[in-house]
Amino acid sequence: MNKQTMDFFVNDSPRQGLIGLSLAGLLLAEGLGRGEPPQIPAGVAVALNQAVIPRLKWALTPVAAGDRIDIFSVIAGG
Amino acid sequence: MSSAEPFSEANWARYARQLSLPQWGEVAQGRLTCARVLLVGAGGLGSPVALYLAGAGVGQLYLSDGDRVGLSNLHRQILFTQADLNQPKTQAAQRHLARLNPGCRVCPLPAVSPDSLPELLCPQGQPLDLVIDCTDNLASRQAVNAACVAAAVPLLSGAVAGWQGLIALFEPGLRGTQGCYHCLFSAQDEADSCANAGILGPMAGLIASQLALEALRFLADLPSPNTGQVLRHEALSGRWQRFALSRDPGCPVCAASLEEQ
Repeated sequence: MNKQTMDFFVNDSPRQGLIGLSLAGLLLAEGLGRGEPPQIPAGVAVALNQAVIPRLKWALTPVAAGDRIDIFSVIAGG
Repeated sequence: MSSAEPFSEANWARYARQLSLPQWGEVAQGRLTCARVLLVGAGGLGSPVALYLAGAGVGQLYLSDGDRVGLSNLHRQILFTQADLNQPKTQAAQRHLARLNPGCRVCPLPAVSPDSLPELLCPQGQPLDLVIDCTDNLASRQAVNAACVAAAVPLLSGAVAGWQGLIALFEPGLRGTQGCYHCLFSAQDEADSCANAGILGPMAGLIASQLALEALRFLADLPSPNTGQVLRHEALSGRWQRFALSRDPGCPVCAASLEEQ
């Protein structure tokens, strides 16, 4: 493993990313951005190690080695 | 106390199996008898939830839905039968629930709107004990959330589509830490529903059963392992997940309610 990368998990799948990656950067890297400049749709929620991270904090929240990130979408069916 | 006597001889028999739970008993049953609940949406989730709540002895159930029973509903909306086709859901529901438990008063209501919600959440000027959101669209979900936040009424939100289900209870007392539905999802329009993502009947039943269990626990004031959490089930992998809810400091819906406190 390169020193500048780290391993973590997204929805249980192993991922590798650069140290210093933020949650916002990760969501864009996962291809969830829409439009130009890319925005993450309002129906996306993110949990870091079993805790939901509010949208306002995504850009300021770093991903760390070993983190477990879960990305899920709003559903409306009843 | 409601006019329905919880511990008449017939009710001892009716509720015997839940009364014999060590965590339940007369106190919990009494709380349920006094409880007033609004169930928004009588579909795949609302059907089993209404059946379980009425069966368990919830005193007053307000049931809101503007739809009529359709053929594509019957595989999962177990409150209805083929004989109910084209009838207003809330009227058919009221009839079936009265046959199940005449001690549960069911009040049929049209579909909710932002204008009607404030009054619906405070019948006779008294806030409801719980709102359970089982609607099929995001606009209604956001409107129900905003009204519940404004009226400080607890909101149990359930959603299902495809192989996924989501459940979360938003309690006014925990607003400062766990926020509201809008803190979790601010989306207003795009989302999967049963109509566009498909669904198997038991998937709706599974999420509805978990919703009904949370509702009964909450109304009886029993502790829940899911307090302050969003519960997610993904049926293809069989996984249940729990994530701690967190208030969005930028949420325009619950910020005002917190300033008032």
